[in-house]
Amino acid sequence: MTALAVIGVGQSKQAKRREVTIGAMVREAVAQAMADAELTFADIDAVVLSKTPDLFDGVMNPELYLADAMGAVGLPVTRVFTGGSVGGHAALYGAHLVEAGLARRVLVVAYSKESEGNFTWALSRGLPFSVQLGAGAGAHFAPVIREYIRRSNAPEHIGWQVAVNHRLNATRNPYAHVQRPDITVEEVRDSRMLWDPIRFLESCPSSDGSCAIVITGEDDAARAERPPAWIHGMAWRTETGHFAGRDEVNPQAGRECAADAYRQARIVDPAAEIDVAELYIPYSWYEPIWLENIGLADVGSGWKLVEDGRTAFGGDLPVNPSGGVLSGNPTGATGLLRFAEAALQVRGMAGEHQVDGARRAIGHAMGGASQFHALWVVGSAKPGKDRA
Amino acid sequence: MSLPEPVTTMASPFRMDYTYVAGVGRSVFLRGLAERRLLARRCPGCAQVYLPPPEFCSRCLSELEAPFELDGLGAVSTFCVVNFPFPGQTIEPPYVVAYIQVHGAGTRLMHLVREVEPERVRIGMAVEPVWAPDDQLTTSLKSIQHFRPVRGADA
Repeated sequence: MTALAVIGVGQSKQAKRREVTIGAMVREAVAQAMADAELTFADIDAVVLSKTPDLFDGVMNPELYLADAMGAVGLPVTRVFTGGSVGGHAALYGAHLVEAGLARRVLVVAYSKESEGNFTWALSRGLPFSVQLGAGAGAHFAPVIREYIRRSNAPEHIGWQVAVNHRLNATRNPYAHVQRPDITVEEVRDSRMLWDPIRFLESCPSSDGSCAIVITGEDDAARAERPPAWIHGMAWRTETGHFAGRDEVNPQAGRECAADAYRQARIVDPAAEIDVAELYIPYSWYEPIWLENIGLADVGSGWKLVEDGRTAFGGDLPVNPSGGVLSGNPTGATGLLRFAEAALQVRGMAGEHQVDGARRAIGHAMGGASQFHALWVVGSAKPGKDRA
Repeated sequence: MSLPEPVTTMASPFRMDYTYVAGVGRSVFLRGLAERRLLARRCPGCAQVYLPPPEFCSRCLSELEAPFELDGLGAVSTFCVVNFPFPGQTIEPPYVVAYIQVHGAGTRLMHLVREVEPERVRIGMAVEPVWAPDDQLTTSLKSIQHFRPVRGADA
């Protein structure tokens, strides 16, 4: 079986992008990824599109509308949808196409243009089997956060500190939407309470943005001009949103997803063997929640890594050097941006937010009511080679 | 040639009417609501109790057993307070959205907790359903208007 690698990464500026069409914004990321990979559309065998529900920005069947923006002339196009994690799942699906021998080179494309719609409205529609609470995404996750805080006895400033860490990281990333170089813990603490216990500055923004990557097998990766990001392990897992005994603070699907990816990557002590982690953290408290869920911290102690500064940019396990979801959230692209950032880090191409000596990185995505989980481990060395 | 002012809006109203097929499993629960009854079902494989009950256990995929009634008394498992207005909102903030652990069920119901100041709501607080008046009972969760603290119970 061939080894797999990412040889091209592109992304647009994340912002409110009223000056471009959806197609033009998607093309920004696609063109950049293709240039990075030094390929033309004639070299691509399949295209995968990652996107949130059509209702969110009001375009039906965007995989049809965007065929030209994605350069998908005469190519198989597949749209993937798994809620907010969709970009991560799309990357894995693209990698599977290469691994299965169905394509030699796959272009994975992701976007959202949230300024053309209203997410909170779209997420607050009545459903037949539950009461219409009109509460948006935060009202789903806020109670989970409250439960985490109660179980772990974490002090409340942990959430404020994560919000500061990620926003400071974003100042190193010119693509990030939120730019607040002067942010302080006090400012986060004093920001408006939205969904108690989630404050405004502990929440992700609503953004426009796109991302694209090129995935190939080892022949192309070995010939690439710039260093490839080798895929060492990748997994996805799903659980339903409503089953008896479900633990949404520490979802079983997330634990098993990470364990599978680590097994493939031959990682036994993730916190020690991973140099940097780019995780799907839409609300600040999800940093300790996911650190525990994916085995980077013991259950109940993820917040201590924040407290000790270990997950800040200069720490020994930096989390979200790009600024993360808290600094830019074009939801359809948010998962792929996490996976792409992990790839940039191990390629040594992350610019001002490059973590020194990053050899192995995690890209992680979560979707739905913490139902869809995707994770990959990428490395600077080809899998199986000495990674000393 | 000078370019035109860009077009930035397009009115495109749409309306969708859905026919919802609840199926056998969910119909049991929804019919119960119209009679102020909370009907749960147990999995013969793992003994977990579902409320609302689907037809099959999401863990074992076994068909659930015959429905039985729960009294609806429960506890606040966890909650948040929605503090800000947004388009389409039907309830005036602040209001409490909670996961209710109904006693006897292995699943949690998401619902409002009212008749109490939001700052007095606690995890573990004993709550009970407030049913709609007769003329407002329907085959939907709207038959429960909200949950409220059980009077005299320790929070």
